[in-house]
Amino acid sequence: MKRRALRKAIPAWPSQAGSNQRIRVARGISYPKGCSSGSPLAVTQPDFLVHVVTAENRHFYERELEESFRLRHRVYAMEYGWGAFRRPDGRETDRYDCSEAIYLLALEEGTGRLIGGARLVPTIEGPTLSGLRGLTTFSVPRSPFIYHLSRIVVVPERREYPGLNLVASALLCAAQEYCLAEDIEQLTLLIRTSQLPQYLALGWNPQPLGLPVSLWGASLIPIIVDVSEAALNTTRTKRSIRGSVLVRRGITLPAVKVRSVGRLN
Amino acid sequence: MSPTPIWSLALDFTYKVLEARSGPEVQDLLLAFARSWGFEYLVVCDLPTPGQSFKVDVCNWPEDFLEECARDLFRYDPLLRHAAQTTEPFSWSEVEWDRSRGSPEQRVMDLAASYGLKDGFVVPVVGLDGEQSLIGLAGDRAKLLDQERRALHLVCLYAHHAIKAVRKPSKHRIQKGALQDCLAYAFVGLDTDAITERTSLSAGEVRAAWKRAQDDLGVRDPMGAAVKAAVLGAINP
Repeated sequence: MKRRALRKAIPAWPSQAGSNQRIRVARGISYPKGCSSGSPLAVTQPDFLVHVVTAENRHFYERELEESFRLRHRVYAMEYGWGAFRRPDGRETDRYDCSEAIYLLALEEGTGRLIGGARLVPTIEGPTLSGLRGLTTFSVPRSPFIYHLSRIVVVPERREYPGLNLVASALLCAAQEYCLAEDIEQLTLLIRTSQLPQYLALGWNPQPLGLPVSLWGASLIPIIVDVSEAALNTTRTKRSIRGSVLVRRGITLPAVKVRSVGRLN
Repeated sequence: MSPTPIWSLALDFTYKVLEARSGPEVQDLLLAFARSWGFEYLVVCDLPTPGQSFKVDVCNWPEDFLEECARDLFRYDPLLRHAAQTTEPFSWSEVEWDRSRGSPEQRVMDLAASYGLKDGFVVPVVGLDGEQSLIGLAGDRAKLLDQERRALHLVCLYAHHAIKAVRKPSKHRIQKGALQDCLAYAFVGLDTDAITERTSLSAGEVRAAWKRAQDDLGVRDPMGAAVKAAVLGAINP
């Protein structure tokens, strides 16, 4: 019931014809604590929203999506130096960038510039964390109601401080919002082990799916987290994000194909 | 019967430690886990910033050692310096410092060794806003295999979170039943003073209830919390 209410609360994007009158769905992002309005951070930090991109509406976002693949390459291959992510064409994609993938793209209001992104993939047909080399897994769940959240990237100039920056926090809020509305119950992630305290602090109830493992020169850990209103609210409160950050444009099909998994049968 | 694998022990620990109700309880759980590798001492503290003193959450290090260090040696501690520069866990033996006789850094380490703190393992922790702290284990030896080290890293991160959680002042903690009472009274229009008169709660506890309701329900005021709680069926006014 609560989830249905939340789904209704997310307004649809205006039609193509009226798109010059952009609806400001959520002007919710405020500045982090300790960041006064007169600080350089506040001055240089315009608002942004997180757009949901699926197979059905990706034609609205071809340019931004392409940009997100390049941002992923820039972050993983160039900044982190992870060789496995290096591509000759400068676009970091893999076989899970398919029709089942759901992208969350943080776009600056006004300019529409991409400043961050993330990807959700169903675990039932998506990536398996158990395939990672050297991973001692407890067990890796697969379910239509569990999605894998990955490729959380933010452009360098929007990483205001160490820890979880505002754009990444908004992407996490967007992931929670989207999953709540779509009846997705849990998320798996492969995160830097040093980020684990941050997920704990956000109230996401992370549970390890394996011991930390050294991959591509970094200590990473697979985790599973809860999708819950409590996690969403805590994240919003701790990062001073007010209200929804999610935008849906056009028609998108339900992520969880309920009939196919027999819930309504 | 084969021994329980280390990853299974680590997973059990992550569940147990989050149920702990006090710093000493977390300390006991962690030292029970780490003792088999020679760790007898634990410290959980924020990393000191220049000009500030140590903020220690949990510590069972020898008091004499801490007193001696506190006089002037902390600022030379090579382990603290290293912890401020990395997010990866490290053993003391992996840290570089001026080992020449009489150097301030060596004096710190010699002093530690004289109190039985000969080797150790440190897990730096970075918080949501980039605040740095650490969890340090020490003993007279610290031999960790790769998988044990990874397990200890995981366990320390959960222990750190548990310690920070229980460290919050008790006045900010409120039972669910009391919270529901506050919300039910707020629903019928009572303010903080009126609620304290009708319940056994102090004004601080009622304010803590509003804070918790705000966090849990994502609202900004007591009446909003009460209404949302009623809509969600959390209270039955």
